[in-house]
Amino acid sequence: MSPFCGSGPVNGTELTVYTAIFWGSVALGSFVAAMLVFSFFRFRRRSDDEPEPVQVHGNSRLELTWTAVPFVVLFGLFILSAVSLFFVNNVSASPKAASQVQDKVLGEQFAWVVTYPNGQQTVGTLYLPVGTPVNLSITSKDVIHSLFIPELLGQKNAVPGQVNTAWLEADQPGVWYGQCTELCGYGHYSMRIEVVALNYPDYNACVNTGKTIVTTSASCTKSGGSGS
Amino acid sequence: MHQERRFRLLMAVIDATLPRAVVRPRIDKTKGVMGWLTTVDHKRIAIMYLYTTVFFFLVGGILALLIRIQLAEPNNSFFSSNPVANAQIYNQIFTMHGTTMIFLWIIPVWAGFGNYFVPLMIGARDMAFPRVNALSYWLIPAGGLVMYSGFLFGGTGDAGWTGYVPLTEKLYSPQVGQDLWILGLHLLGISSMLGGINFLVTIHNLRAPGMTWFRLPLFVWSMEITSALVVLASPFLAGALLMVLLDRQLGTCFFDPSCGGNALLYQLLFWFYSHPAVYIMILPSFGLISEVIPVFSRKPIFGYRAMAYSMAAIAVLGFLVFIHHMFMTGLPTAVTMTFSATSMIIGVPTGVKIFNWLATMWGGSIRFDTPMLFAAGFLVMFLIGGIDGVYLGSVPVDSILHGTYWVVAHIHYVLFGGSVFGVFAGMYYWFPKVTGRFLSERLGKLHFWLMLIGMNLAFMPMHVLGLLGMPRRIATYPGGDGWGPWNSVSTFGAFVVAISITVFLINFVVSMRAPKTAPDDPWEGNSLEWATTSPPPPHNFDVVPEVRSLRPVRDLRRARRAATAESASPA
Repeated sequence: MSPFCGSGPVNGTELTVYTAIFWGSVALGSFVAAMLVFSFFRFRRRSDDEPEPVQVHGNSRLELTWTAVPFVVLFGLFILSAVSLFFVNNVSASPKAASQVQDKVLGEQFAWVVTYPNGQQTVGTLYLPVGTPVNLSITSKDVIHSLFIPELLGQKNAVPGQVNTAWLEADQPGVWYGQCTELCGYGHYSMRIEVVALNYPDYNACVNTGKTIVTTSASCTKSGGSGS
Repeated sequence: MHQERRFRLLMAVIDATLPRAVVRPRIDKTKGVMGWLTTVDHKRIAIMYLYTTVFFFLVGGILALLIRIQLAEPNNSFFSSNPVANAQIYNQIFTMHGTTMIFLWIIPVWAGFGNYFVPLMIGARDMAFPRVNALSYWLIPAGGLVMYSGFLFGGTGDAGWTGYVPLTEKLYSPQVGQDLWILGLHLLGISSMLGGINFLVTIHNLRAPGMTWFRLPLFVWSMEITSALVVLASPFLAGALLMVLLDRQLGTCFFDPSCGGNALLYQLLFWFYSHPAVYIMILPSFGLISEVIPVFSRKPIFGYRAMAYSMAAIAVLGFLVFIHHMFMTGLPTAVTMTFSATSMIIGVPTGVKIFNWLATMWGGSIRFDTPMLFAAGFLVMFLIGGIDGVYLGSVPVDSILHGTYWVVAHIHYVLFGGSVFGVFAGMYYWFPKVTGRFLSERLGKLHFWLMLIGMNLAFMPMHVLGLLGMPRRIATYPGGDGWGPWNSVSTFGAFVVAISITVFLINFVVSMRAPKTAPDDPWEGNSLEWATTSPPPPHNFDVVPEVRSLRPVRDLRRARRAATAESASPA
């Protein structure tokens, strides 16, 4: 269930931002950590130290520098996040928005119920047509849940009395898994959902006739098979 | 000149002839159990705070070990062979673990240190309201007892330390333990609000002559700012919890959408308190580290004013970032984006602090006694925790990390690697002042290294688990996701931490049996607590030294050395 084994444009956008923050934080973090560890060793007290080293009380120019540099870096990361957020939050930002499918997802203790445009329902499984954006209207019957499908969607809370939307799109056929990430009671740990992306003929057969298609696991070479 | 001599003579005659008034209390309130039960002395109250909170730290730690045992391998059923019962017990255990560590350990342990050292550091005789101070303390064990008594009545609260509605509504959490959890939190909330007011009044009114705002030790600054946060934010938690209690007991409908309530209202109120509360937990640690690093580097703190201002900036911004806990609740994009911006910006004053600590050590003469080791550990661990937070501040990335073990890693690097390392730096730093004895350096160093290694083994794998999509708060998990091995490492790390804490306890017991060898100023400190005896007398100071700079005790030391040098070499 790793976002790195994901598929589709939403996952891709999220990973782009993640990667930017990752390299930014590795660069800045390892620089600061290296300076800290260096100073632990370099400035250890030695027997020939003066009783008191030179008493430096501050340096405005330096302090302004290390206020400004992180500000610029963080602001840059914010801009990247903000731009990506419009895409992630809004199915109409997808170039294929015109062909979108509208599904409803209801969270309840302790299962996910999916309703397709034709009224057909599945419990614990979400069928997707490959290459088509699917817009989900998510709500809850009882307590707050969170629909977490790291490889395709990220997540969105299912809040009773409120309908949230989120969208996802799978680039290739396959099976992924999702799980509830908001504590919802004793069955929280078991509240999983299987996400099956199918080519259109199979998808239609599945959603229109209720026929179950046997699918093979999505190929994900990075960490030994998608989230099975 | 003549007049003055006559006056002195007169005073001497008066001193010699007049009998001194002696107050004899009916019960000797300074000795025995009654002495402790009735004390209003800030130092004794502080010691009770410290014993109580360390006790709850141990209890919370045992709960953590139970959690780690259950999660050590896939499909485990450590608590019960019945999966439902197993999960129910698990939910209670992690709820009590989180609640205990936050409300019965980190927040009150700083109130304990503050109680002992704020009056000493500002040159006061006691806190402003000694009786209120005693009340603040006694509410802590009371709150803890109420909360834990749930175990006797069919189960404690089990909705996590955040206690989100509707899960905490009666329909979903019928057990009386959930009410007791709310009532316990109420008592603890009153305790910290009373304590906060007391600290504010003390710091504003009882500073020694010459102790201006910009000569205040940074630990006092941190307690001032923390107390302001407590007083401003805690009422929101109290209000939110009261509303849940009314929903549960009187059938009101604040949060249940089926009768017109709003489920997200609770989260808004809760995080309006609980995000500032994160700073309530970490700011005193910042303050303490800002005392330890200059003393052990033998340099003044770099950019004193920037250090004070950055804490104030963090406190103000702390009220403006709380929505980042609700990025996934379906709030409008514009709202989440605004709070994403503030959440990123709060990294700036935090960065300033880390760079200023680094600059304080730079060119210094650093002595790595145990307090400094913990301060050094704090710097690196808190750095990691802070950087973890940047990921969560970006909404698209939060979308793949929210509610996963990444968040668990983040809070533990910040609160364990940050706050708790700060607490232990304080324990080793101030132990000689409080007890007149040193904690063993050898055991202290063992404690430090075991704790550092243990925490990284316990919490570093949680980053990987988060990236592998493991949700937090799940009672068990199937074997196919590759989560098992990382969880096993984490459990092993938790036990290493447990061993390190055992070493600390042994160190404490051994050191308390040793003779009192600590001098008044063992570390060559800067602030006023080092100007009095170890331990200090009930009235704190025979004579409060004059404060003429940020480092009054260093001034005294230099004056004394200069005087000795002068008398040793007669001109």
